[in-house]
Amino acid sequence: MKKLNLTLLIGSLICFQLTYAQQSLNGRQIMETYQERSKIDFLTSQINYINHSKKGRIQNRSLNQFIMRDKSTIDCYAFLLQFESPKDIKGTSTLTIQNEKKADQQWLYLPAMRMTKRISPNKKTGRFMGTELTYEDLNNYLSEPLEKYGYERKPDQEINGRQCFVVQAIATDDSEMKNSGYSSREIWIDQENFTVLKTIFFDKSGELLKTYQAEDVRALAGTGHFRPYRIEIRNHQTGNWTEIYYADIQIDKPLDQNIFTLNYLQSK
Amino acid sequence: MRILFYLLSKPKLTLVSLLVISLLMALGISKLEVRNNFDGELPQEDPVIAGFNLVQDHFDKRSAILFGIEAEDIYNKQTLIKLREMTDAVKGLPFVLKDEIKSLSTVQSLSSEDWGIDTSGFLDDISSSNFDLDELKSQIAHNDMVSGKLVSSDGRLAVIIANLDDDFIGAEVFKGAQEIRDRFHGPEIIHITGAPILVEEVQQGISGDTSKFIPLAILLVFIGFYFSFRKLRAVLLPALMVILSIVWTMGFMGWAGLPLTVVSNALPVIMVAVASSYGIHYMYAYYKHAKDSISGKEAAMRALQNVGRPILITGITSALGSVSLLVFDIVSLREFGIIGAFGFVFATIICLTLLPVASAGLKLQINSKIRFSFITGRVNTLSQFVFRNSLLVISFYTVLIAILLYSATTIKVGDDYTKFFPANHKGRIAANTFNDHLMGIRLMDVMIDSKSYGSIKNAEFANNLRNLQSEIAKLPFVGGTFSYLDIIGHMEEVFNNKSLDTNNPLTTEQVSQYLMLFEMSADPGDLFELVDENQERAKIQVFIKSSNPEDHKIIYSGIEELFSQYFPEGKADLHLGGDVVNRISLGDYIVKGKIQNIILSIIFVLITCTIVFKSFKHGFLTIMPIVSSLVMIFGVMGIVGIRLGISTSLLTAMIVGVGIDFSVHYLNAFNKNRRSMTDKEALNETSTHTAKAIFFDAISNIAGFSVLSISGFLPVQHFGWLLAFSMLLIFLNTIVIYPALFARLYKSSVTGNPILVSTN
Repeated sequence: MKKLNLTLLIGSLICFQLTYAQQSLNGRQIMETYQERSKIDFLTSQINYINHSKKGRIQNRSLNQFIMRDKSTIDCYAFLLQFESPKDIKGTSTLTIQNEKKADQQWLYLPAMRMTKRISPNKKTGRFMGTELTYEDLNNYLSEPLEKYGYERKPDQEINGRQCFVVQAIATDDSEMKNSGYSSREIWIDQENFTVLKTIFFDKSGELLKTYQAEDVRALAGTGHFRPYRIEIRNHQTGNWTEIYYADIQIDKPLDQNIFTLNYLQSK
Repeated sequence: MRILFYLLSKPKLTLVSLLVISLLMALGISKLEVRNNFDGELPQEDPVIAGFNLVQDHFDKRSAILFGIEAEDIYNKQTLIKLREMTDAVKGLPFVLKDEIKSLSTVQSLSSEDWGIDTSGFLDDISSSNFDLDELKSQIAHNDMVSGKLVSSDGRLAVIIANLDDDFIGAEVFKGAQEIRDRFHGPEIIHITGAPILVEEVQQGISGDTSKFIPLAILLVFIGFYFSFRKLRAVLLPALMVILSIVWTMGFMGWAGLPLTVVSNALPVIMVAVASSYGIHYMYAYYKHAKDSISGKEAAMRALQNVGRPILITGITSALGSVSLLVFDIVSLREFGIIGAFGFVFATIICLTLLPVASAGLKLQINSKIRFSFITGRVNTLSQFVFRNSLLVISFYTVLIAILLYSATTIKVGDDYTKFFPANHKGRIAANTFNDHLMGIRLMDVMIDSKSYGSIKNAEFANNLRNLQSEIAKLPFVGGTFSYLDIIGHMEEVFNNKSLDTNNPLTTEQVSQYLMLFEMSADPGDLFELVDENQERAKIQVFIKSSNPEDHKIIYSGIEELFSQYFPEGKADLHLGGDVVNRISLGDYIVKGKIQNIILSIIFVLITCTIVFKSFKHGFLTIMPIVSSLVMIFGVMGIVGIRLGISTSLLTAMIVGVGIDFSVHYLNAFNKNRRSMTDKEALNETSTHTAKAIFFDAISNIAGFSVLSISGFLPVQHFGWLLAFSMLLIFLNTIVIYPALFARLYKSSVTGNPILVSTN
């Protein structure tokens, strides 16, 4: 009985300390914790995305995604996207290699012509695969550029029964300020698993631009990671929105480096 | 008539009743709604409109405004920065779809470089070096996606195209666009155009001119009355009668839920022209009898006895004539038929109650100064000449009518918006600049339905479409075309260094993958503008340099013919859309409706007058000046080149209304005079009094509405002088045709039988 009481006491203390520690975190510390807990070396998944135009038109596409971090860097990744459907675009692929000190490199493979072409890297504000996500969003979710932003913690809020930190991110780096498509972001982070559940984006003139919302968050067994299996991005200024469904997410299962080469791209 | 005399005997009851009804009707005015657009105006089951709607269903309704920056050479740093800043400013305009703005600043270049494919924006980095600017110029010149579309090939004009939300409010968009034009103007010239801007400029310009000139015209009409009668009462009473008629009619519209449209806006003018003549006849009769009366009441009673019945007949017949507008398929013209019918009935009621009661209640006023007595002599001389030479006059009329009838068949139909403006108007200059330097500002959408899912990617379909498109581009007045094949062609050139031609047939996979690439880099609206979501239907945008509806018809039928050549055996369906197509239909319905309306209104007048006068001959006589005037007006429009559009088509309602009035009064007077006089004397008497009253009405309206012809806007100008000319024609036709016909029809009689049934 005494043992049980002691366990309860220790447990309560740990919970209290954790809660206290969480309560005392500032904006930057929250983002650092998030960064630490969401950092990945490898990621593969199947993606089905549906673009909805403001007039109700839809585009439905499926692809496989392979991502690998350049271990010599903190936030540079290589990613390969291979389209699976519709049938007549199957095999169309893009390969992107991010570089720390020079411009990113990007290649496109068109199976109909068995042709690989290097294409100029997209602007940060460019749409990612025609979705409402931009390349900037993609990079930020893979690795939040902590050194380029200032973070301010806002009052906590709840989303779908989940208690969240709310952090406002504003660029402090001149180049980031110039190239980013946003004046600020408000990020909702689950206090328990440090998953981003919601982000509100404000455009350069401070107007509400779009909202990212994550749902169906699941723990990935044996990895300590949590990932949403459905996300939705709504552009409030245009009325367009995108739904993305993930399947078969695998994190940190090592990938063959040859996947991220032109030879592999052309062999598929 | 008994009721009218009863009401005259109860002046207080009559005036209070009129006041109460007027107040109730005035309340209805506050409920009036305005409908500015023509959406839903045409019958939705019409094949052209059904096709138009189908294109909208699959490709959405798209209205675009266009900004142009004109400079000696737009390839300089300052102008290019201005273009980028203007594009950002356009994003902030109300109702502009932020992701559907096209300019050099928003589209990707997609060009082939030594190292690969460059997908950066044209204006990502704007350099001031001549080398870089020349390179940009060359890059654009070799890019069919932008050259001639977003930048003129002579480098003098750069364009920003912004699509608008379906529910845009034209006035707000126009105001915002004007602010941008003023903000960025100089040293470059900034132009704004596009259908929503043109419509707004026309509406604001016309309503500005009409609100300025129509009150002036109405004032001049009443001043004309004053100069005719030289008595203030003779002006104020008909003016009050007309104003009350307008209040009642507009109140009725409010209560009945009939909106104010571009058509019913003409109501005040038509009511002034038609209803004031009722008042003139009454006042003329009043002064005629005042000389022999001992009191105002006696003069009022005798005037009512004299002209009450013809006014009543005129009002009812005009209302029936207006009802004939119901045959139109255009909603606002049908509505105007109902409005006009009630308006004429209201004017008749007010004229036959207010004027007798008011003039009876006022002190007897004798008028010995009625002006224009010289007209009596002239009309008499003319009438006698015609009476004597009836055969010659009838032959002359027959030839004239035949020539003008032929000319009427050459009348041009539909409205050419750009010609509405004065030559130096910003709207006209902008439209001309875009037409001169680019592909044209009017758009026709050609939708080809492959009838099966994903089939637009099929190589055979794509090749047929490419051939069709290149032939459409050769049609007259077509400035250029654009379809998904232009995108694919450009990609093929960039990726494969090959152009699309018969030696380079595309595979389905190629088309799919190129479309996929475009989809990945473009905004969703960009692709859905050209290809539907099932990739089953493709759209060719046809840019037209002309705003002339006849030219649009040529293109329309040319496309239909070409389609049957390239897509035989029902392999695909063709549907045409775009604002141009809607206007073609509108024009067709105006013509069809106008012909039916004229025939029916004439039949109504014929039947009504035949029944009322118990004689077909009398019915026939009533319609003769009306028919002649209509033929003459349309004939002159054909010769001068005035188009039959919405506003000019309203003239016939006025011609019929005024024509009935003049005919009935003239015939009635001649008949009464003929009972106690010879034909010659009867003609003299009719010319002395009735023709004079008709002349007062005609000359006052001519003087008043001629003012409209100084407007810079053609529709207002044409409406003004056509209205004035119509009044002159109806007057002349009444005083010329009747003596000629009387001479032929009653040649043998000396004192003869009454032509019309007695009104006593």
